Amino acid sequence: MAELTPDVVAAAPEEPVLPDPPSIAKQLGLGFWISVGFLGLIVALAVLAPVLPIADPNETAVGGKFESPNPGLWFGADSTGRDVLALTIWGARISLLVGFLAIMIGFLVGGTLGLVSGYFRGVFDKIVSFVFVTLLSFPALILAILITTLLGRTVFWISLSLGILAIAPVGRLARAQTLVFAERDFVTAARILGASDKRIIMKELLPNVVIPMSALALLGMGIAIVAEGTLAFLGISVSGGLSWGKQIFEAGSSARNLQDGPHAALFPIGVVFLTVLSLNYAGDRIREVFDAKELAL
Amino acid sequence: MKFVATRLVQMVLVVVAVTFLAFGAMNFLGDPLFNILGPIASEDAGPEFAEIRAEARAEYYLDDPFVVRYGRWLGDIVQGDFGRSFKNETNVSTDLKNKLPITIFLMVYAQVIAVVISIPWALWSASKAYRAVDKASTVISFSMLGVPVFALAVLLFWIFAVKWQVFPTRYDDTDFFSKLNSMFLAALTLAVPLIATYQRLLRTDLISTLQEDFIAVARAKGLPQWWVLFRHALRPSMFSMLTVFGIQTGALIGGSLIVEQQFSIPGIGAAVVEAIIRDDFPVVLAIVVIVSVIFVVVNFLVDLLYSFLDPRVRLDG
Amino acid sequence: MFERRRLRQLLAVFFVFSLVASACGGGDGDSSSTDADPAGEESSDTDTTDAPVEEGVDETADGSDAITADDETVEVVEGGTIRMALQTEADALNPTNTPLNRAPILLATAIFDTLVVVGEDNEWHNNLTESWTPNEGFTSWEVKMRDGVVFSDGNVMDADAVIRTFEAFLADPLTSLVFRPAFDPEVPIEKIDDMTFQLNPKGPNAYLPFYFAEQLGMIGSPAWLDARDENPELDQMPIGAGPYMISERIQDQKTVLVRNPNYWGEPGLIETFEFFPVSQESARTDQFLSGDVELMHGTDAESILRLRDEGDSIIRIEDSSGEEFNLVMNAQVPPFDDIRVREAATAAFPKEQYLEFISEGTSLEADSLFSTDTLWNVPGLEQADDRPEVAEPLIAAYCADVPDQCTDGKVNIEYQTDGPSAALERIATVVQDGWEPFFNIEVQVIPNDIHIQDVIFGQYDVATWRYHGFSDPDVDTAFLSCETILALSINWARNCNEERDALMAEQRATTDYDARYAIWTEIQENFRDSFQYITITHTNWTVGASPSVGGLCDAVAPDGAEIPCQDKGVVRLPQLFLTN
Repeated sequence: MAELTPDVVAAAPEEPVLPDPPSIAKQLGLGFWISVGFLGLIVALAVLAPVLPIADPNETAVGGKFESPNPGLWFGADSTGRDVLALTIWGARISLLVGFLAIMIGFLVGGTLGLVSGYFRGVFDKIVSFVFVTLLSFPALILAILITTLLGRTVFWISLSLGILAIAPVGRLARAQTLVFAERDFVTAARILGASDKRIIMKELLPNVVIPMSALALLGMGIAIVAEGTLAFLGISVSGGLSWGKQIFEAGSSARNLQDGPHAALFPIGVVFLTVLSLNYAGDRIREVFDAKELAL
Repeated sequence: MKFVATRLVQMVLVVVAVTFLAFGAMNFLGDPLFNILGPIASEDAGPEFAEIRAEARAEYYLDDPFVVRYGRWLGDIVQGDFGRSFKNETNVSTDLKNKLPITIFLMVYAQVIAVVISIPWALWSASKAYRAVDKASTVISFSMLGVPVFALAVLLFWIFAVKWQVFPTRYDDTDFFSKLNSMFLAALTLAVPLIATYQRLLRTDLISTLQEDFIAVARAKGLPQWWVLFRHALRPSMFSMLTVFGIQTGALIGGSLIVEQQFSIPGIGAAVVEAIIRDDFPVVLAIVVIVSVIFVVVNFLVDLLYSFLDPRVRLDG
Repeated sequence: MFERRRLRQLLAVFFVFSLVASACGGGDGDSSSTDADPAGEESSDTDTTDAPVEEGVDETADGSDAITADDETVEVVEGGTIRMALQTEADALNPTNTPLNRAPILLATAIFDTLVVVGEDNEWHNNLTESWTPNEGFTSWEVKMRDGVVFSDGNVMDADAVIRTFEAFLADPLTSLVFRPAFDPEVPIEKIDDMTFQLNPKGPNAYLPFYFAEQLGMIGSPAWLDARDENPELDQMPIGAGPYMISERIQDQKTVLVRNPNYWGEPGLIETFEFFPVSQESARTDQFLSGDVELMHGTDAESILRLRDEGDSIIRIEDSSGEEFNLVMNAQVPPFDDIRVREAATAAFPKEQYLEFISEGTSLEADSLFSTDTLWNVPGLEQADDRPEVAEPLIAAYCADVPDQCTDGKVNIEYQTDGPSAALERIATVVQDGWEPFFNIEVQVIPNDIHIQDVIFGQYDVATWRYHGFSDPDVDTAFLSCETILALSINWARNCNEERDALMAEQRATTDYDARYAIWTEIQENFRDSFQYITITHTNWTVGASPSVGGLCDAVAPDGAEIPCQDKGVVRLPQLFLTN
């Protein structure tokens, strides 16, 4: 998701009536860049996990049972003596991957449907809107658990089930944005100039819809990461793999564990917290900065 | 009234669609006979179970077309018959009659906590808008949104119920007070993200309302600040919060799966997880249907209320 | 007629076993799927564990930590309510068609009582029966019922009532699967007169009464059994002849027992018991330690350690004489059909690490079928674990012979465990770490029911399992016998050994303890050498009680024989009382 940021910045100048393009980075504020920096760091660690000089996360007895954090083991050890730092870094891979895939699925399906239905309107739009409402009325977490239990506890199915949950919210926003822009002069102009529907959607609408959507993408990723954690907490996340949720599930599952080794639960909880916070904050800043512009139009 | 009628029709259609999807999922994801019988559903399990298989097929009408089965099932649930649990053949309706009120109580409790805390907080921060204290409170509410519910549940339970023993560790329904007391931590866990959501929305809306002329008039009359905020500014600022109120019902249901597990509350949240894991589909279906209906109805009521508060909505239909 | 819907659940836990045995256990999970945690136990605490306690004194199983509820100041108060947190919720409480694991057995024992009870002396004693008289060769037993026993609905318990229940057991396709092998297939039971009936075991059996000390010995009111055939919901509201009866039951929430006014013996001292199913081990302990319940039982290491930390401020009773936690290997499918692979897996098993990180001194290390708390333990009989050097050549040889079961010189296996359970995930982590040099392991975490089914149907490579545990070992022989290897197999390892079968039949007819011990020693050696289970620990069932609870160890059989304070988590209720 870190890649989204350059997109946003690049897309910004295309906005027809940007009052002051160069100041966008500044408008986003320091907090935004700190958040992005933190997310970048987490992603880098996750990607580089295999080559980092850290312990094998599956190796037990690297430290003592619930060994406290110390210079040798920065995050301490968990109940089976595994290195909590290594677990957290490796756990990031699945947590981030699930979050990313889920939101990608939501965007590909929901975004496309929303854009197309918002542009063409008519019966298709009515049907799509109905599907969105129906999906929203389905108890989300129950649906995710159901799909995961029925189809399998793999990264793919978990991402897919969370992705399905993302379709409706993403689609509704895409549709709403499309409706706004489809009425604008530059779209009408393009139509009069004889541009094809496909061209209008791709060249005129998409870039404008993408900005508010990128804000939603960041927020959505945060939600997906928490949702994966929730599944893990209920004991139904990725079978046999490592994830933040699983780490918290194992370490926080009993009062005695929390008493003896609070670090084993608190480190992953802290990382999830900061990650979600960064995603939320960055998303919120994008929304605020670009919303304001919208209003100015 | 046309608006109400349209929404009602839409509501019914949505519920039908949800039930169709849910019933379809149960039937097409995996073999329904297997879900009923387990491994003896397979011919490999041996001929001694052939009769059982035949009986099950007949009893569940598995040889009928899907749509016929769906129609029959829908007809039953409309009459309040959710069938019997695969697990132990108890009547699903009876079971849910015990569990649903507990979950609803929990959800209402969480909403009450959220509203009671977020409104004064939002009024206060809006009145101090953009000052240091407001910025600090924004940071706090933002952080509250970032805390995963499951982690919060674990931590609150550990600290307040186990370590300090301020609250009981188990659900207690002997009287209303013990119910409130024993469910407080669970409701609070659910309320935390709600509080933050409401506070943020309400604060933003309040700030813009406070710039309106009628507020200036009220102030000019020399009315005290809290009265202006509470009596004049609050009501017109509650639209966004109201909308979200309905949508949050869904989030609450999700949250209840976790807190009921963590705080040993015997509601439908804990039951549905168990039922899904054990493939107890009559129970799963019943809960999915009930939860969807609650969600749809709550949102319908919110819409009604909304249109009542703001007549323009009716025109948009 | 039985209901198919429940078949699979029957299946499931059934084998867990129950019927006959007691136990619990099937998969590790006898606790409900949400959190089994069974395993977490282990042993080798330095204190020797000495079976269940001397009676009269509340004492822990590890003699060392005896905790007494001050006998002098005890003042028996009649009436009152005791609340207890149980490990599992029963799907139903009908013994004839529902496999009951420990928590439901506790309830059902209070509701039904059993035909016989097993005492501290490990012998059976008459309870609802008057006498058991075998014929010369132990090929039939004549059983006379006690006079004056009535069910809580007023019906008399006579031979007809027993036969009615027994036939209900037989009519259930799955419950019968488990205990039928012990009885004559043609005429398992016959009525002699109103109060007398005859049981016919399959072959000589000197230990038949033991089979009736648990689920099989629970007799339901015939009127209730008839009514439940019409309305299966009555499975939730059983009617028996025990000291207590159900007054209220809300699934997953609570079960309330009150005194049975028609009870034939001394009425219970406590007026009302409230039971709450709390499947998460740690939550049960939290509730107990916060004073929200007065009684609890559990098996996981963390709970036991927390109870131990409380020292004398609570009553704690430990019992490691029963079931065992182990890994079962499927001898019918590759790769574990090859004994070399089974031996290698055993040798590479990281038991030391398991003991250190998982059980933390709470339960006894298991080397064979019986713990040192039992009469059948063979000192010095050791399982060859923690010896990876032994595994290496075996795996190399196997992979040379059967390359398609191996990748990169390691054997490909699926390790199956039930869940969701943090404790079982942790165990998987430790096992994986030990096996990693020799096996490519795919960990499968599967809901408890399905896990048990897979094992019964032989659809697994290696699985976590709980096994054994009846007071008399004969009751458990069905799980080792060739005869029970069928499509649905209760010989879970599917490992047939004719020689062992012969030994098991022989011990069944032997009444001399020393001779029988010698045979069991042979059986255990055979068991070890056939590498079907990797035995890990003997489950430590621990009961916690608040100091206000008295009488835990005061239960006696009608003939005055002492009954253990608890048997694998099952506490008897009528003699309990509250002190001030």
